[in-house]
Amino acid sequence: MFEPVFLAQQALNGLSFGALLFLLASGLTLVFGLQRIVNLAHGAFYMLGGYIGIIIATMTGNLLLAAIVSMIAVGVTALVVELGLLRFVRGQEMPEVLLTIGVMFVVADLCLAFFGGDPKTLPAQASIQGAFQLGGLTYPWYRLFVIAVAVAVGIALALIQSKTRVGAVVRAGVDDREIISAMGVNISWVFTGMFVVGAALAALGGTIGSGVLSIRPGIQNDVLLYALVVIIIGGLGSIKGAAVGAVLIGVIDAFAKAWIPEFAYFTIFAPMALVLVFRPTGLFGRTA
Amino acid sequence: MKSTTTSAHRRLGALMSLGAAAALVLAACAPASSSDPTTPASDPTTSDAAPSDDANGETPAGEGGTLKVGYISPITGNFAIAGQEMVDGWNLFWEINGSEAGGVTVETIVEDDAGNPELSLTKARKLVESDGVDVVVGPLLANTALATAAYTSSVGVPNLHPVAAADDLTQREANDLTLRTGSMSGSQMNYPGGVWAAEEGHKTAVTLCPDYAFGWESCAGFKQGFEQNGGEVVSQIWYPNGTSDFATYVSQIQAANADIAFVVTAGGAPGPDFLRSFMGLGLTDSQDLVMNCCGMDQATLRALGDEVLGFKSISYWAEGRQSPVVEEFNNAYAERYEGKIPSANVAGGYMTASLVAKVLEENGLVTGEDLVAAIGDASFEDSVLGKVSWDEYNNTVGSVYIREVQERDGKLYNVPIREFNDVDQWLGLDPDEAMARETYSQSFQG
Repeated sequence: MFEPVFLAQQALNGLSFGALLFLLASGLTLVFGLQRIVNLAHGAFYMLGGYIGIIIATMTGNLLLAAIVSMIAVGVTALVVELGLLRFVRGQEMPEVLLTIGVMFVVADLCLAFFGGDPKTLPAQASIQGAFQLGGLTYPWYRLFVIAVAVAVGIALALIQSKTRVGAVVRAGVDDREIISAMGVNISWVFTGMFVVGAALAALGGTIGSGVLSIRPGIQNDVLLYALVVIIIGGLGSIKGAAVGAVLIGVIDAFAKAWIPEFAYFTIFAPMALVLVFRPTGLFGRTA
Repeated sequence: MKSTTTSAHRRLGALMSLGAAAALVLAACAPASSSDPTTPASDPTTSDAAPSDDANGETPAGEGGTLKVGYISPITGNFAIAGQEMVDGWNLFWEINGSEAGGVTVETIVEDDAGNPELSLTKARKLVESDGVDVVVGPLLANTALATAAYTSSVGVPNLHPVAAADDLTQREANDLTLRTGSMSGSQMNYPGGVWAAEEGHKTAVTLCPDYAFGWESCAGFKQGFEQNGGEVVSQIWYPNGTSDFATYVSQIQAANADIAFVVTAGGAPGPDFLRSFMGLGLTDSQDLVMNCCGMDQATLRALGDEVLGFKSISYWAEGRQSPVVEEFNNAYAERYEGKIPSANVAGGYMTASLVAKVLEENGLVTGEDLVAAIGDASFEDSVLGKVSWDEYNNTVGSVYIREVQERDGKLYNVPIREFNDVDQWLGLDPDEAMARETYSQSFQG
């Protein structure tokens, strides 16, 4: 249990699981940061994205194409949800959140009707086969690829947020909605855009994630739970927080399950409880 | 009028508790609210007088009367797929053979328990007290099955179990009204796997099982079979229910460095998720592996396709067995369900229906302990599960297959490569001796 190969493998297990957690939490935290609502349909968008990604990947054998198609399809779905439903209740927190629960049920049930109940995973031909070898260490390329994708997405989001005009508008919207509207920015469309981007990120997570965790009925709740834990630890609305929270949970989970299996049930929730006790706003959260 | 309002209330109550449960899951950090399915459950006490009325008011449909069957299965919630399959198997038999046997019309009322023991109990009460059923079939999960069996036996109603694997249904809690019809107990179905692994020449084994009754029993069965035949289980790993990323456990299996790994799941996503990690870490060729019934079932084969060719597993059900009974069953199921191949859950439901039909044909309408006794006296030279009979504790004594995934006509089947016959639930012990031991847990594995 303490051999170097085992430690390295567990570290990679933790990092890759953390990477996946980051992919599924980043969209949720972005939407929350701007709109101050938790989009409970996020898990359902992940699920839908996963199913669509698997279908495209099975047809074409191309993971990139699968990810793009699923992001577009789920993005359009989110756009319809935003324009057709959420706009009518904007600013009323409770109806907004409840509406997203409704959307979750509808999307999840439609998925069950269309895709059936079998667990589905990314087909081998679209996945990245083989394993990385170094001395006694063997590690699947696909999980390393998940880490790479998460790092790329994280850097891209951070750069967009800090360096571009769009990012500036979003940051301004987070800080003060009235002022940014007074300055001639249509904040309503910024909200819509962010909601769509958040859903597309969920779809990316679903497609990439389907190579590690199979997509199945009920996955929407698991994903939502993981995402909530990650962003609660990291601080609601913070991309940096989501990254740190995800890696923290992934690594703690992997090692704790090997070294202290008696606590396997608490490896995800105990860190969250501790953070809430000592830092209720999360590691990188700001006080409201 | 009164009964309709109570049932509406009950449904509303169930719906509300369902909503509350869902909200609880969603909120994740919300304080535990008391969603309380027991409140509606206490209603039926007011209608305690009802069952006798219903039973008398029953109008005979065929010449031989009607056998009213209450069928409880989790057709919503986390176990919805398995639950629906269990119902499909039951219905399939009656669709093929007509819902009359020996002049007795079989009438089925399906109730959903969502995999929740309290709800199973409520549904069982409803079926017995207000529908006046003659027999309760199901539910699926061990805890729901034990709860239901305790209630039905207390009110004198037979309870048949097509899928539930809990050892104690037919051991410490065994009674004359409870019978396992279409499956085996958790330790029984995996014991021959241990015997086989040892006979194949494996000296050491590592086990990975879910951390609850089904996992403890399954691992205990394998371990005793393996160790009674000269093997040694060097490491036992337990994973919590709800685990989705198995990479950390696969690394532990690798670190254990045993000749063979035995891995158990209760069906659904854990099977493919475990295998993804297992294959990903490149263990396919270097680590011998045998899975249980449900980790390598048709859902796993459909999810992973050709990648799992050659993988081995242990089960009392083998869809690739060359037998007219199995082939007929497979074809009938495929015809109605988009060409799919049936799982153990479907086989269990089908087997249960065929037993009920057989008994009705031979005896006409029988109920209560007579029904259970008649099924217990039955034996099959070849059923969908192979050669089966029943022991005096109302458990199946039957065949267990070591199976290998093979391709046939473009479809993947679990094909038996070794067959153990007349496997009983005592793992080579004397019944009293076996039941005097403590129940299986992480710390007691026999």
